[in-house]
Amino acid sequence: MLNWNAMRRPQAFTWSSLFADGTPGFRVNVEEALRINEAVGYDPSKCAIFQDSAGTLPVTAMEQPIGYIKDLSGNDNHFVQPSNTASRPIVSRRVNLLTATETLATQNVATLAASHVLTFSGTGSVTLSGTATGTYSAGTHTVTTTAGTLTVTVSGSVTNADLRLSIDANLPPYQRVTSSTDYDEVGFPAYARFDGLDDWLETGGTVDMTSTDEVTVIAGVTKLSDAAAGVVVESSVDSGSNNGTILLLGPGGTGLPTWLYRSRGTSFSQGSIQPIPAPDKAVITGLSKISTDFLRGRRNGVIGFTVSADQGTGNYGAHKFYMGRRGGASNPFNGRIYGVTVIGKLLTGSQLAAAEHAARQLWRLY
Amino acid sequence: MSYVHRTMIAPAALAPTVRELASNFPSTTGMWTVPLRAVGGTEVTHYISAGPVAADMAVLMEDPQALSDATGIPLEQAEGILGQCIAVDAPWEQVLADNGLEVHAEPE
Repeated sequence: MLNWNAMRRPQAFTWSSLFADGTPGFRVNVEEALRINEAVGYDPSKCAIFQDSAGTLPVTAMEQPIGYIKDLSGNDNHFVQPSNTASRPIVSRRVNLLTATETLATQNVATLAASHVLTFSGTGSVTLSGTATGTYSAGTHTVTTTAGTLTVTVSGSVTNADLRLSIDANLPPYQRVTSSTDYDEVGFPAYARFDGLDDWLETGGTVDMTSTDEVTVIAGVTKLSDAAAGVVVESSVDSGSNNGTILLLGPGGTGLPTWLYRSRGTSFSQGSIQPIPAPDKAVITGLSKISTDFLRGRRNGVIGFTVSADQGTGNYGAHKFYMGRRGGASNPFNGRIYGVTVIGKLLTGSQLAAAEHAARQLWRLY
Repeated sequence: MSYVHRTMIAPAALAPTVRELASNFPSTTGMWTVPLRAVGGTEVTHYISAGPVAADMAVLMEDPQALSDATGIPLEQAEGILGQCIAVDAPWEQVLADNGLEVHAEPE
């Protein structure tokens, strides 16, 4: 006899299913928000990401500021930058550090202390000085730089040039960059660039998580520095002193090659995924349940730590959430945030696997 | 509305003044609140903001006459303020390095 249940096609994963039945939380996703803007013809009444904090000026192009991005969970926990334009992160798809790449000219670029991939065509050569040295002919080369200014000196014809972090080598191998605002976008996932100085977003009001003591956080992120603790997302102005809070840091402290997740009922428990030095791009997941003192961190679907230290008692609270900076005042995150989802429950194994897989595919975090 | 990127640094002694002047314009609360010090130093010497600013505000940080006209302060004062501040389209890390400054990190 045929087993019809076994033959039934499994239901496709949807993010909205995670918020069914009134599950609290939020879902911010730069790529999806941009697609919504385009799909609705940039009608401000229907857009999902805006340059201004009032939500009247839609993001229409790369390198524009993010003043307001909508929560796609249905819970209306939208994020804004309420204070000043200079503290708004920038929407970007750019990975190629060079400009005027079709026919390259001598130029300076800022580099991190990191491995990069240099690719170009043509009969000429490229000589690097400053944060790296060497002379290269056409082809693909791995270049390790220090932090600072790299001078790229061009001799002869150098075309289709691309210099990017090695962590972005999985993306299309060449990104044309004509200018800082005119470059190839297809195949390059969108992110919010937090400058590691004064950028942050916060929810317009408090996010009510008082009905649950369970949380799952799924974040698509690239950290570009381990110099000082950087807040990816945190509830309340300080999860170290406020009960019923969560925190995701990258890195977890000064000079630490870590991603850190913390949960606090009336006392906090935290763990770190390590050693994961910057630059690192990944889907980072934090799971926690206060009453059972369960705390777990995952990176790209692999368990990084499980901690059972006491989290105290009670449920999560009704707090504002901050993205990119602690309370809008300290611990700035230096990197890219592709999206953050906070769900007021522990996902099942299959839900978690499906969500992490969907996130990694959308944001090409692999 | 169009935005341009600026890295903006003000001496610590002038920071209250530039914050007050900026408060005449929208979406400027909390600017110049990240403290800087000389590399290896211990005292806060400057404050910084970096990121997108409205194009018309960027003009005010480059043109003393425009700043004077927009705020009502004397032209000489506007020249004095802008002469001590930095407002350039460059990454903040580069501007700090070029000027021998670093972020005055807060304790964690």
